[in-house]
Amino acid sequence: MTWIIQVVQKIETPRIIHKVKELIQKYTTLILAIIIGLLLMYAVYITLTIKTLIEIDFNIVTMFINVIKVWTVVICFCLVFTRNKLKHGNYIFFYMNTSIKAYELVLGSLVHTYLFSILIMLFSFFPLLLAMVIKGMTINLSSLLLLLLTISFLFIFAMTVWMLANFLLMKYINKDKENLYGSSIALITILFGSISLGEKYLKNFLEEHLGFYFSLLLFLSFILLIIFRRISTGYLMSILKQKNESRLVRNYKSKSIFTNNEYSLQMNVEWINFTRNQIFKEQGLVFCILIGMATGTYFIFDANNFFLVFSFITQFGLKEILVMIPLTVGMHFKEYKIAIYNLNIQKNPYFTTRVIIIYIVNCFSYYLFLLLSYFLFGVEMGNLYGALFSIMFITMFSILVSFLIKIDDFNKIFIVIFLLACVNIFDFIIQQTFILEIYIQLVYTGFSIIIFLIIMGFYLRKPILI
Amino acid sequence: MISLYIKEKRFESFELIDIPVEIKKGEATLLLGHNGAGKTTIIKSLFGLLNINGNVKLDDHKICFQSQGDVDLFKKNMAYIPDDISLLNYLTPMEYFDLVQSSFNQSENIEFLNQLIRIFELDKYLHIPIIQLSHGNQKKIQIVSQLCRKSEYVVFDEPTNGLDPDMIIILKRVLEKLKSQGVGILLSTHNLDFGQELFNRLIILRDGKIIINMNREEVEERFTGLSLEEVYRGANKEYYQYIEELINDMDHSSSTENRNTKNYT
Repeated sequence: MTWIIQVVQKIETPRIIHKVKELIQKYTTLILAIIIGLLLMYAVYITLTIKTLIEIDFNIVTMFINVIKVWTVVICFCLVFTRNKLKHGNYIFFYMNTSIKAYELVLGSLVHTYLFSILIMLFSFFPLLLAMVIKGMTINLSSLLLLLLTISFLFIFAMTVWMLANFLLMKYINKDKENLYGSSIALITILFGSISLGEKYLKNFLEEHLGFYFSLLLFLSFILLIIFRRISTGYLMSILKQKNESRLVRNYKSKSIFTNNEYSLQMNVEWINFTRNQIFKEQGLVFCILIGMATGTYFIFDANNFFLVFSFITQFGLKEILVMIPLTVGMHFKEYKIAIYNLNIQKNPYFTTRVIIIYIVNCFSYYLFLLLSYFLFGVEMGNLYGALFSIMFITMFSILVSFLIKIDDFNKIFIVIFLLACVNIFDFIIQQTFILEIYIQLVYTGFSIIIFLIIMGFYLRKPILI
Repeated sequence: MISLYIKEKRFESFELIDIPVEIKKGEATLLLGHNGAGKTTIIKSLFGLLNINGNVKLDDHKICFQSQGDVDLFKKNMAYIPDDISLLNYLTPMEYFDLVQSSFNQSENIEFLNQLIRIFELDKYLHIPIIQLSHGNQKKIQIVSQLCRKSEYVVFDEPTNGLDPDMIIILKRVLEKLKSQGVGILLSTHNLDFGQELFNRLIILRDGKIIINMNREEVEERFTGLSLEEVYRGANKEYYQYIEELINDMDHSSSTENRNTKNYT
């Protein structure tokens, strides 16, 4: 336990404090404005959600199970996105130079991810709690504790599955190289499979055998911790080996990118980046998982529940892709600005080509998802033309954030969730404020142009200097 | 000729005051100094990467780094090889060289590029993404990508970091050759042997101040027959006297004895 606290105190917390301090010092007024804006948007979200919830009846057990389902989605994303944390030098140094055990290091590295996931759940379900209070329903403290215990168990279970899948795939299939697709599919299948299979029993336990459920959970947690402890060493060592051996030399067929036109030159370079960047591969995986999830729910649930889950997938899953891909623009600029300077790249060809490519990729992802949903599940395509403007705003807003904040493996997940919250709340407010479609499109276009000009004016000075 | 004059540049922990640096065609200016003496600050200021109270001139033309025309002119004439590796590392070396040639519209330099590729032994790495190559090979790609531009001036910040002995010798020969063909060089290095035969002007910095700024003849006259290391020590005499005293006071054996005694008793 002492070592877990040490990991949190010496590696995780100082890093976050440093980042937050740096951000506050650099962008004090901007951050204050964002916080105030977010608080306002959150207040609107709470008001509107409570208004809706008061009008409908809901059952505590069903809510409990829904919270668990949302939690599973959240932790799947968090674990996949923070998977490279342990490859960081600070962790390796700590593991090699102290008597810390592997399971302590892994658990320590998960503390902030766990707390962050809890925070998301709190923010998301706070209106539900308020609605219950307003409706005069009693909130039982023991139910909350039981929920906390269940989600903690699920978190450790998810990590155990992730470690096991990673370890086995690296050992027997990929030979010391990460198999992102395989591990993620294993994690999602096992987690959602277990929940689907256990849902009926869970409902029964919660309604009739609460004491038994509590004891069973404690017993399973105990067994799980033993398994976790046993496999964490193998997992950690495979991660260390992966860091050193995954850069196996692979020959590419170099593409000829020589051209006298600066725009097509930058287009070519960005396209190569797109085809070789890990983030784009990850997003390809997320896209496949979303289609898989939608297909699964289509066959498992009835029509009403399917549309509920499908709307959740599009609002959070698909939008995750739409906000994640544009983040690569600012990340690229921050990582390579000396090279950009050295190559005498002008800001117009540099930025415009990247915005166009990312916008096209985002539109393509969105419409492909809709097209597949239409053919596979018969979901209506909705306002195809209007989506172009909304995607334009999402793309530009994400790009702006990527220039504002230095994104790395540690904060990527926080930024994606922050962006999802902002974009969804902004969408919601715009849809509520304006009735005519043309006004909504004008607002999206206006904001996108303003953001474009801000980036060109503030972040890409003329010429591109550091 | 390229000239930089820093009237004043202040940081929290140190400052550069009254620094003139010149790079002449066919000559090498060598910057020496301890870590934090201000060498990299000088180089970054030269490229407009830091705000300074001073100016940068190309021949007699004052460069304004907010003007695209000036920057284009400056970059056309200058090649910068920084200490850190800064390449678009998802490209292969071949693609990267293509990009450099495209960016500067220099398709006619292909033969020169091929010569450099052979000299720096990069042939077998041309189709491997740069990110997968070793630090030394990435450094070589950085050097070749800038030298192939055939610019009139080349600025090196720690060029020997990460290079193997073969490459250090080869790089020295390449720089000698470039210098003889009229290329102006600014070199900041900690490798005194590397700079020994190359320099025409020597600038030694200590804590942001120039303590020596002489041409080769002046150095040879003042420090007759001394190597660059001895010149450097001579220029920093007080500092080395102080360090010598500290070293003389060091007592490694007694502490070991105490520790051993403690362990065994």
